[in-house]
Amino acid sequence: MFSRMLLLVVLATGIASAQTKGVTVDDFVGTWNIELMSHQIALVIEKQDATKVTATMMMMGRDVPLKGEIADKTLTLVGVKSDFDAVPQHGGVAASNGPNAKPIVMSLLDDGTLSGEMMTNKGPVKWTGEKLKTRKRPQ
Amino acid sequence: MLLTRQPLSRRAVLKGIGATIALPLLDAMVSARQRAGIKLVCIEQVHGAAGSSIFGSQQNLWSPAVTGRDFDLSPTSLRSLEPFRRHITIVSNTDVPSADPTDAREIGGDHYRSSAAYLTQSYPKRTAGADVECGVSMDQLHAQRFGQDTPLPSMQLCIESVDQSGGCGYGYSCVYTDAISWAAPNKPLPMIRDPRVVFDQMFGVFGAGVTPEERRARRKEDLSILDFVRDSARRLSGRLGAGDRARLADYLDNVREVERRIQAVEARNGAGEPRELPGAPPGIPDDFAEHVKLMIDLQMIAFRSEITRVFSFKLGRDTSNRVYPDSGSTGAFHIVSHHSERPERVLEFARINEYHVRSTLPYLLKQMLSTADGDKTMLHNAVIIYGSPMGNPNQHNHKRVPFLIVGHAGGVLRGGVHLRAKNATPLSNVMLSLLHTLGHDDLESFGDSEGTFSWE
Repeated sequence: MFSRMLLLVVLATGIASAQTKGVTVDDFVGTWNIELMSHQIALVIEKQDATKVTATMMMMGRDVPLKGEIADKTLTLVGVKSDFDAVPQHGGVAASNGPNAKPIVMSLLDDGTLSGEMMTNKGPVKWTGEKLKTRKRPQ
Repeated sequence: MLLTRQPLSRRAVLKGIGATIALPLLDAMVSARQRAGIKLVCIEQVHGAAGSSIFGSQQNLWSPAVTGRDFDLSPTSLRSLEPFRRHITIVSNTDVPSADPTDAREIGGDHYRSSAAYLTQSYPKRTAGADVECGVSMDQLHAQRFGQDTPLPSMQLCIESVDQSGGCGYGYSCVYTDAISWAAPNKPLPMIRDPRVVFDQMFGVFGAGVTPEERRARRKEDLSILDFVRDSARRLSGRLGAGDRARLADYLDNVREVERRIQAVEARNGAGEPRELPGAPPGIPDDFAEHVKLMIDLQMIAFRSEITRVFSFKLGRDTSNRVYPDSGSTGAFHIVSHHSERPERVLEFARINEYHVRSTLPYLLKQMLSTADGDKTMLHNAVIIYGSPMGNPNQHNHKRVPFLIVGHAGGVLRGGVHLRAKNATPLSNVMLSLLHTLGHDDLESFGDSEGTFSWE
C-alpha cells in the first residue's frame, strides 16, 4: 500500500505560494528529505540553467527521474520516463507524464523548508521537506 | 566471617560433572571488594518515544516539564519510576545525528541503521554486504577495559528475533538493526534471545568437559544444574561463616528458581498448544513482560556472581508489529508509532512506551537495590542507561531522543535530577561524560561527540 502511495507522490496537486522573496533555482538545488505520510523520500534537485532543473525522487529503492522549471517562486516538476504510466494500475490516477499528468509543485518557505501537497489515494496530503545537511563522515 | 586463613578467590566456582556455577560475592572474598567494577546495563527502547513529537513534548509524555530535582513524573512514560526517583538522572533534548542520513540513498533507511548508532554514536556505513562498519559501542569500551577479569566480558540480550541475514532494506545489512553492541567498528556482536541459551552460557563457560551434549543430557533428564554441584556446594559451605552460608544458599535458590522458570516455559511451549510467537524457540516466553523478567533475573545472577559486569539489552525491533495488550493499546507497535502527529494516537504510543519502562526498569531496580555490593547496594555501584536512538518515530528523526540513566556509578552520579541539554547537543556528549564516570577518564571523544556534558 505504501509503495502505491509513494508512486502517487508524483501526482501532486497542491500549490502553496512561495513566501520567500527572490527565490531562485539555486535555493531548490540540493538533496531534500521529504516527509510524506510518516515516511521519508529523497528528492535530489540539480540545476540546469537559471530557471530549469532536473531531479530524482528516490522511493523505496526506485528512482523516478523528473524535470522542472521555476516560475513565480514555485518549482514545478514533472516525470520524464514512461514507466510512470504504470501508476494508474495502482492508484487509478494518471501518470505524471501521461495525458492527464499532474505535476509536483513545491514552494520554499521562510524557514528554508519545502512545502507542498500531494494527491494520494487517500486524498490530498500535505508534505514537508528539509534540506539534507552535509556532514563529515568518519574516516 | 572468614573461617579459613586463605581468602576465597573471586573466581572460585562450584563444580560438578557437566556443570559449573560461579559464586556470588561473599565476605570470604576479601580482596575482591577493593576492585569491584561498575556494572553497566545498556537498554534500547526501539523506535523512539511519543514524548519526542511536538504534541508529546508539550504534554511531557517522556521527560518532565521541570528541570532540576522537583520534577513531576506523573504525566510521563517514566511514572513507574517514581519510587526510584532519587536514583534516576533524566537527560532530555539530546540528538543522535550519527543516525541521520548523509546522502539521498540513506534517506528513509532509519529503521535499518538506528540501532547501530545507539551505543556507538557513530555513522553506520551503508552496505548490505559483509563490509559493515560503525563504531565501538560504549558497553564494549567498558567491557574491554573492566570486563577482562570476568568469565564473560559482556553479554548481549534481546527480546525479539534478530536472526535475519543479508540486507534488510535501503541497502543496509541486517546486522545494523540486529546488533547494538560493537566490539570493533567491523565487529557487531550477536544478541541472544533465548533465556535457555543465556543460562547455559552463564553456567557452561567454565572448565573443561561442559559440552553441548552434556547440557542436552542434563535437560533431557530434567535435572537441575544444582544437582551436579551439590557436593561441591556442601564442601564450600563448610568453609564459610553463617552470613556467607545464607548468602550462598539464597543465591543458589535464585539460580534454581530461574532455571525452574525456564524449564516451565519450555514445557509450556512444547505442549503443542498454539503460541503467540509461532516459530520462536521453546525457551522464549510468549509474554513480553515474562520474557523481560527472565532476562533481568539472568542478568542479576550474572552480576551477583560476576560472570560479567556488562550487559546490553534490546527490547524489540524498529519494524516490529508486536501487540502489547497489557499496555492498554491493542494496536501493532510499528503502526501505532507512526501516529501521524494525531494527539489520540500519540497518546496511544505513549502507553506502549510507559509499558516498556514499567515492564523493565522497576523490576531490575528493585533487585539491584536489595542486593548488597560491599557496604552499598548494587545500584549504587551500577549504571543503567535506557533510551532510543530515534526521537519522533512518525518522522523517523533523531532529535530530542528519550534517554535516562539510573544508578550512581559508585557515587559519582547523585541521581534524582532532570537535566535538559542545550539544543542540538549530541547524545554522544552525554555518553562520553558517562564513560568518564565509569572510569574511562582518558577518553577524549566518543562517537561524534563535540564535548562533554555536565551532571550539574
